[in-house]
Amino acid sequence: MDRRNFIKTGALSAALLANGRINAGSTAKLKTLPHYGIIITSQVDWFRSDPRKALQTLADEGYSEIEFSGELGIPDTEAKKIFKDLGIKPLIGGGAMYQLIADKEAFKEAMEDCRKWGKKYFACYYPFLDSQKIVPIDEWKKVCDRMNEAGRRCREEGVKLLYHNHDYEFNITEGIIPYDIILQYTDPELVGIEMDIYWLEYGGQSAIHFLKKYPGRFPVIHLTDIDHTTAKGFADMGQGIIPYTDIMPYTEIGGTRHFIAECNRAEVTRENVVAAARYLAKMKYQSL
Amino acid sequence: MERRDFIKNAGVLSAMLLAGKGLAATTGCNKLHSLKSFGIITGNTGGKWLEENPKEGLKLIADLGYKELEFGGDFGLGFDTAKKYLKDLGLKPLLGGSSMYQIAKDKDAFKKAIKNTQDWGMKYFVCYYPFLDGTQVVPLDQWKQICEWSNEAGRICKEEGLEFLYHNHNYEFHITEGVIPYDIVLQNTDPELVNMEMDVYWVAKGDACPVTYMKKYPGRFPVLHVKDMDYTPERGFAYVGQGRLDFPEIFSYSKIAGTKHYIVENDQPKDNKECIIASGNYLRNMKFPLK
Repeated sequence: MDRRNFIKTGALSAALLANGRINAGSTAKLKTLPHYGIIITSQVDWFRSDPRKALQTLADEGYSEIEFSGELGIPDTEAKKIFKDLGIKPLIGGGAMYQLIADKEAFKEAMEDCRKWGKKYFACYYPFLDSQKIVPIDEWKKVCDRMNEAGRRCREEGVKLLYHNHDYEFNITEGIIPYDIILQYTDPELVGIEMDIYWLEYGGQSAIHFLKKYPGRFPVIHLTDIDHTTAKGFADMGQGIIPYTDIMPYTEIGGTRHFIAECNRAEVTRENVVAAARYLAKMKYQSL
Repeated sequence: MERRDFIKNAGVLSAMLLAGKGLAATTGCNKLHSLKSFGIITGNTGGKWLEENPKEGLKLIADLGYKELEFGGDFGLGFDTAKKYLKDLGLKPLLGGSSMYQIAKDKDAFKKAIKNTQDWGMKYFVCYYPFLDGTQVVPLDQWKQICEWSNEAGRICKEEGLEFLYHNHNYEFHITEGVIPYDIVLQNTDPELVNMEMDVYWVAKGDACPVTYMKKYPGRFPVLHVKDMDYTPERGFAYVGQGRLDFPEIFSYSKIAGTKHYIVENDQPKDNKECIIASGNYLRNMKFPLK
């Protein structure tokens, strides 16, 4: 069966068009991030113990965008007001493939959640309908068919679907990296890519390689670091092995507009959240 | 050539086939380019599927945006029918060729091959295999002989209005007497008579880097065979874009290298049709900076 192979000339992000000029022979301009955001889980201790204080912390640390799903532990109307007053924009919601195409009620709820908060994106964090993560290339193409279908449904609701990776997209399968299949068989009009740089590099591949290979496909990136141990656990950004200074210039080609600190793991503390913000606020990199 | 909706309805191609050419310029040095055109070598890449469905296959090739063809034979359609069909589809016969045995040792066969190339209106004559037999690891002296035969063939082709090209495999990168034969080929052939059809897969298979040579011998690579390498330990062939070769990087040197034509190839595709589609879509939509 022929697969729809959807590589397209995607529209470039404003970030790419806003590049500073590089004059040959002069020092290239160092850039900083225009803004940065965070993905949180409200069930984690540091947030749940005092959601209002937690949101204040986010604002104090300069986060202006937030990715979350589910309840925040305070009434919605109050949360909306807090977001507005603090200048934090709910940007991205998320869930799994099951919600998107296998459960009509769940899809309705997911879209209602986006509408309620004004979220522009919905990220699919898990692309399979069961627990099998090591699958043949044909199955990955079916994942793309489902993503395209889900993307179409989201678009009808005014929401852009994002594909969020882990490390299994980089498991070499029949000589191919499944992430290449994802990028080539999803329709850029229907599916954006939320590149999780930790999992991509943990999976043994190079973020720069994919940012260059698929210009404009990566409106959102998730950022955290890999520590210096052989276990390759999580580290605060800038304290690990991921070459962010080298990667960041290529986000311009990748079309990235939203830089999201990945702070939604169970063990995340307030200190991690603060450390991530301070790193992103101070980050400087040489434009291409 | 305008693309039609039925392509989309055929469930094979994306709607953006209808899109115009590459990106508008961005600022300053950060401009990304698209390929102005690309082509395909049909024999191995199209394989049995194209043999059995020449008209459908050539039409698909044209619809995907391929412009130039490299081939021998007549697609089983007969010369006149094939020539007209290609013309109607906007597909340009660009390259044909032979192997060194014919070129250096069988004057009649070489003449005949040249005439065939001219009859199709092709621009290039390619030597696909530089040895006289199956011995592929040869001393430097033999490599220098290969260069002399190439220069002579290049001279003859030039008189016939054709450009002679040398196509590599991985044996040009087999270190011989402390030297890489590809350097011998590039240094001992006359750029006025002989240039390269560089097969980037075979360079990588030879554990070398295409960019090294594009930089080292500017202007000597008018044609690239665009073939990808899979991620298996055996490093086999992959559909263009689905493998490990860094095409944005390679193509960024195309101006320095003098590259005008990008010819898709896969020596043994798992699925000929899928290979042609995936590779064509990838090249049609890829963007790269230009050094």
